Amino acid sequence: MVSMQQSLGFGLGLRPDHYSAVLAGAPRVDWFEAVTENYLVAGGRPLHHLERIRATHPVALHGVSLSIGGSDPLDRDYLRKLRALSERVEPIWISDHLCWTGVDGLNLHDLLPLPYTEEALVHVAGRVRQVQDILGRRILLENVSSYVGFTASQMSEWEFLTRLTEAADCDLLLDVNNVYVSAVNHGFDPCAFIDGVPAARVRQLHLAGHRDHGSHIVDTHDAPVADPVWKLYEHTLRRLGPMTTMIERDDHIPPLAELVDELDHARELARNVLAAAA
Amino acid sequence: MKALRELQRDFQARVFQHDPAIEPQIAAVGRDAAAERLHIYEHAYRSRLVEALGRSYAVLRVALGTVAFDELATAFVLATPSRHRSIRDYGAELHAFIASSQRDAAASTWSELAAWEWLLADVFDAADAVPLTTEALTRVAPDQWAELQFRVHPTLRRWSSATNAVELWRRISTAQIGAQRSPADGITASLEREVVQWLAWRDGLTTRYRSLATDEASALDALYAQASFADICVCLAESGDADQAPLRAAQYLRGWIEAGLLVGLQSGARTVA
Repeated sequence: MVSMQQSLGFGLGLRPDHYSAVLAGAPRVDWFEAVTENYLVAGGRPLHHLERIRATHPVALHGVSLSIGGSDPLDRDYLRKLRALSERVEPIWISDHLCWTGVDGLNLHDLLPLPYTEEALVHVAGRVRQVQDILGRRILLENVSSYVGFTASQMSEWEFLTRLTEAADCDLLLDVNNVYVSAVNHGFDPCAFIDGVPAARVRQLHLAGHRDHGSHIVDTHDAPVADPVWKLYEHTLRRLGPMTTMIERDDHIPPLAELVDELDHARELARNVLAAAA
Repeated sequence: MKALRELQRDFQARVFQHDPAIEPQIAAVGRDAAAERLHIYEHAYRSRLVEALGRSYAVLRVALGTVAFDELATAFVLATPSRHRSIRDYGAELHAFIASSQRDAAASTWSELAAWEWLLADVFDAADAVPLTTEALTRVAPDQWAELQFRVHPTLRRWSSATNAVELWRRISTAQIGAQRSPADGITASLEREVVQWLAWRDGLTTRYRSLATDEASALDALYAQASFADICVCLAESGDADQAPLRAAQYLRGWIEAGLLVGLQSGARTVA
């Protein structure tokens, strides 16, 4: 089944290191993904630059601290600020991760895996609906990289995601690198994951680099996209069709032009895959 | 939700205290033991927060050297679990941690350097506001001056230092920007002979700071505390020539407006500008 969503093309994560290069023109970058928390500030340079870039490019807001899978109450203050930022920036969409970040008021500043249980499904679906009511729009949830799974899990991650989109009426941000990292770490077939998620719910793809430690892979976002992830990206496009894609780089950030070259590689792969499928 | 909450508490206790309770709940993970995989999360928590502190306190990191800074940051992270939604907000208490935990004679300088860097970061993304221009003063009627009150720019911060922290900050920042030499060369902590008063604010997108004369600092603090123009004159009269106090108050007021420090004037219940 091929998604009917319109592709917005090929984008990059918006990083402060690149503000001046982006404002100078940013050729061949169709859109930017901004990390929400970097702009939940009162004023100054971050918001100034975001608004200038938003004037010329579509921008998505991508959060890391919603903790949709957390067991503490939802943070209403955070959601109020997120809504205000959304009204100011008018993003193409708002995304965060299917994870939890801490409990009892503490924050581990990590995207921690959930047990894929019926209990967690009901809990998370209820919270997604609350968030969507507050924001007045659907959100996208992203699959995270994980290094452990839980004996309590009653279903696969992709089955959990599929049932969550149905129960909460939310969409998906499919991180192809995270699928590959988790597949190696947990020993499942990454294509089974890609083939298992509901195509019509996937609005965006992520690509990123990782570090291979032999017995496991760590999701580091500090290197170019690895070859097996490019292959899985091709498989993903064969299943989903044209799909809004972006590359994340959070550490060892190279000049913008280098990331644009990498983005061109994604473009070329997509062109070839879609031409072969036509 | 009960099982989920208990699992999350066990997991979190692993990261914070290396508690073993989560281990039997981890599914088999190929060749690695559960403890090895859990270590990835334990290590990531500490390294991520130490890195975040290194970004927030980039100048202090240069002043101390990366090894000493990372030791300090690690000790702080172990002692201070994060309660912040954004990692950018983590670490405000580092200056107090240095003051309370370091026995080094230079600790008061490093503590002040940390406080100063945090203050400047606070100025960097504080709320925007349109500053008044001196034209606003022409709208003040003669009978409004005594009760005139002021709204300060939301980026304005007052601070005082007893060490050479600001001078070190300036030298290291300049060296980092120019990259002309090793920025830590000649970095020596010292105490000042007397407390220096500071003012920091943002002019558009540019962060600015300057030292203040003692009477200007007192007047600005009074203004900050909603004092009227008459109160500010009294404040200046107490710290100098009483006859000249209204003139000095007017001069300071003009200077603050020209620097973009004020955003509103009010007399009694009336907004003047």
